Parts: sequence; C-alpha cells; structure tokens
Amino acid sequence: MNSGDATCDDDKMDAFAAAAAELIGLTLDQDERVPVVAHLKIAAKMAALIDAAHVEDEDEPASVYSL
Amino acid sequence: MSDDLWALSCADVAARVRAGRTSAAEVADSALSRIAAVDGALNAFTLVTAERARASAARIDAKRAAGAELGPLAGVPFAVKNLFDVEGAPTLAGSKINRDRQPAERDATLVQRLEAADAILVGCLNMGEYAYDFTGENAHDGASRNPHDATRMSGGSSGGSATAVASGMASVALASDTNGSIRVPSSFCGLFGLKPTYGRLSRAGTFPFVASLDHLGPIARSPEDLALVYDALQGQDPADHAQAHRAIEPTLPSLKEGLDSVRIATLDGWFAKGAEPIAYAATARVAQVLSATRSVTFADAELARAAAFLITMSEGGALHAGRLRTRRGEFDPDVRDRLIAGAILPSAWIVRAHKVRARARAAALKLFEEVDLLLAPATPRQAPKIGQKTMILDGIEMAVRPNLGAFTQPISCIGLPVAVAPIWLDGESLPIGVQIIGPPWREDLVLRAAHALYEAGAASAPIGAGGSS
Repeated sequence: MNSGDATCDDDKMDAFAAAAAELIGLTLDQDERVPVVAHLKIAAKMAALIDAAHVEDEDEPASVYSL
Repeated sequence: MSDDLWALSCADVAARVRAGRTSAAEVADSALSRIAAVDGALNAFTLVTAERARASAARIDAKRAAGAELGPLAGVPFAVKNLFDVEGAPTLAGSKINRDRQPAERDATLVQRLEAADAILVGCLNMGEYAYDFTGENAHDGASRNPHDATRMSGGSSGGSATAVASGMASVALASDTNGSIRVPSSFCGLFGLKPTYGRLSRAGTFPFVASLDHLGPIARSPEDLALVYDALQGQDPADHAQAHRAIEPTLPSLKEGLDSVRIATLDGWFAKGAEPIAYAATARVAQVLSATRSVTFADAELARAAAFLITMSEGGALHAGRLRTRRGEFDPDVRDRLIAGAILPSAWIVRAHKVRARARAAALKLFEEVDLLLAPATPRQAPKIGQKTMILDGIEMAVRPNLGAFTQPISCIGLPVAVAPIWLDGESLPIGVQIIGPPWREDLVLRAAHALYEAGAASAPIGAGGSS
C-alpha cells in the first residue's frame, strides 16, 4: 500500500489490516476487519490529500506549540 | 423567585449571591430541582453530585456570613463533561470500560479553579465514548437529547454539557474540544461556546483523547458568562506540560469595548461549500451585523482537516491500543472500529500530516496580517435526528458522524481560539452556530465579537423546554 493510495484494492487492504493488527497484538477475524477496512479507506483518501501537498524535507512537523 | 433561580445567568447568580440577595443554598436547590425535573427526558447527567453541591453552598453561605468577600462565580451551578476528574468518582470519559477505574483522588485543575471562584459543582455529564464523536450519542448511557427538540442530537462529543446548559440544569458546563466537541454541540443546542487557543487552559486531571489536539473550554448561555468563567479558568499549571507559558489575560474588562477598527472577514473556499443553505445564511447574518463585507481564503483548510482526521485516528488508536487488546467487546462498535484502524495507520501518513499541519498553521497566521477575525459556519447543518446515519449535503449523501465537524476540524487542527455564536433565523425552530475565529491568544477579541452579536439581538441562547413537560 503506497502512502495515500486510495486505489489499494479490498483484498490488499484486508491483508494489511490483518497483518498490522497482529503486529500490535490484535487478532481480528474476517467480520471484524470489514468495518476496520472501511475506515482505512476513508483514511487513505485523507492521506492522498496530505501526500499531494507540498512539504519540504526540512519542514519540521508541527510541534505541540506555544507562542 | 427562588423557583426560577436555575434560569439566571452566571453573572446574575453571582451578583445576587455576592450581595446576599440570594443564598448559595437556594441556588443549589433550584439547580438540583431543575435536574430532577428534566434530566429524565434529556439524559445529560451521568452523576448528580447533590450532596457535594449542598455542602459547597453551605460553605459559601458561611463564608459570606463571616464577612469574607465571595468569588466571581459565587453560587453559580456548573457541571463537567465526565472526562474531568471529580474526586470520589471514576472518570468515565463516556465509556463502559472506565467504570472499573479507581475513583479520582482529586478534582481536575479546572474544577478546582471554578470552586475556588465559589461556583458549585452539580454533576458529571454524558458524552460520546472517549470523545470520538460529533453526535452526542452514547452506546452505554444513551443519547443526550437536544432541549430544543428532544428527538434531535445534542452534538458531540460534549453533548451532555450542551444539553445541561441549554435546558437550565447548569448555568455553565466545562467541555473538551479535539475536533469540534465544544463547537458542534453549541451549534446544535443554541449556545455560546469557547474553544480557547491550544495550550491556554490546563488539561490536568482530564482523560485525554488526542494530546496534540485536545482543548478544554466552557459552554454557556451568554458571552458575558463565557468571559466570567473563562477568566476564572486561566492560569499556569505545572501539571499540564503542554500548557503555554502565558500570563492570565482577563477578557471580561474589555468585553463591551465594541469592534471599532476590528477587521472581520468571512472564510470562503472550503467553508463555502458542502453545507445546507441555512449554515451560510446564518454566517451571512453574522457578517452583516458585524459589518464584515470581505471574504478571505484559508487555502489549506481541506488539508488541515485531513491532517486532523489522520492525527486523531492515530493518536486515539495508540491511546487505546491496550484496551482494544484486552476489552475490545466493551467499546461502542463505531468507536472501536475507528480506533483499531487508527492504531494501524502507516506512520508515514502521520508524520506527513504533522508537517502539513505546520504549513496550514503558517498559512492561517498569514491571514491575520490582513484581518483580525474570521467567520465560518460551525456545522454544515442544524441538529440531525438521533440515530440518523446519513445526510445529504450539496447533493451528496454522506455519513453523519464524521462529517459534522468538517468546518471545525481545520481550525482546531491549528489551535486558533474560537467563539461560537448561536443564530436563530426567522421561522426556524432550531439554532445553528457560527464560528468567530481569532489569532492565537485573542480570546478577548472573539468574545467581544460574540458579545456584540448578543447585544444586537443577532445571537441568543434561550432555554429549551424539551423534556420539561
């Protein structure tokens, strides 16, 4: 799955959800993964916007800031 | 008159109690009676602290009888979203899981500050589970209901806070706002809400959601009440490491100074599409009253919203990963599934979202070189029906839950202070809110603008009768 790749197909997204959840100690069965994949798809659309935005390598991530 | 004390503003209650025209005990009894009369139908409270309220009132009355000067919130009944620690009670944060937590050993800093100003805590309030919500619905406690139409959403996640204030069960409530959780309920329930600048108020003693986005603030029925309470909430607290090093900057003294020479513009672009016409009509009404004739564009608004969306999922998912492993079945399924997805998002997305957030913030600050205040709708529509899952905006059907915050998320993502002004357009039985957005640390200015609208009769917060019959 590429960064912000909203076209990632359902099977790949499902496989990603299963493997990534397993990595953090969550075992999800097929039924449990369906809504998780739906949310991942929404997140992927948001990530696609972020991915298309111009940022420099030198840009600092926003800190928890105070002025 | 004592029967109607619950309907008074914070300012009126404090003036009466300080002058000895009304006792704090009478005010507490009136508020508790109001809660007993209407909360069964509105479902705002998860805990009523009646014994503590009566003890506080007795202390305040004794203090006055001894000749001591009372605080600026003398006798004001307040309640808090149940993510605030209240000594002796488990901090629920809208969840079933947290009912097993040990009772809080001390009050949250902001609760302590209001009591130090002689306000009276009357209870803890319903909220969306772990604050991941825009609806005011709760799978465990039921929905808090809108006092202006009990079939409608109160808004989330601080739904109980808005329901309590809009129905007169509390004069003011404390709430949190990560993506819009003060502003959405204020819009739906017709209240004035203040989301201060990120880092302004201490969050110590509250259950977190997204540390880099969490704000706390008050919801009330007038800008004067907001200013009175907000001023009492300010001040340094070493227990909150994210709090900015700012001196107390009182807002009440300048509240009535007016807006001469204040430059105000309406936000277009992202904020001018994707909503029902009434959201724009309300914003136009505010612009007219405040003589705001120009528009400006926050070009990175959509990006800021996307960044907030991803950061929220990720930080929220990480916060709850342990509970998702061990107690997954006890979450509201809608919340659980988003948290799981958030916990496994690719880190490259999140780091980039933070960079985009910084860029969006810089772009927004640039706007404030040209203007002093910005206007935008608070929500894309009035309160939906409780249980409603989808809505149609601009001809597009979309899910209700994630999209009610489309106009609030870009602003909290970059930490700007916002006051919500409740607008009742002619012929409408439900309100809708407008955001008044200021540059960092100018809570005084957003409250002045809200007050100008209140004085002009353009914004108001009548008490709802829903559930009182």
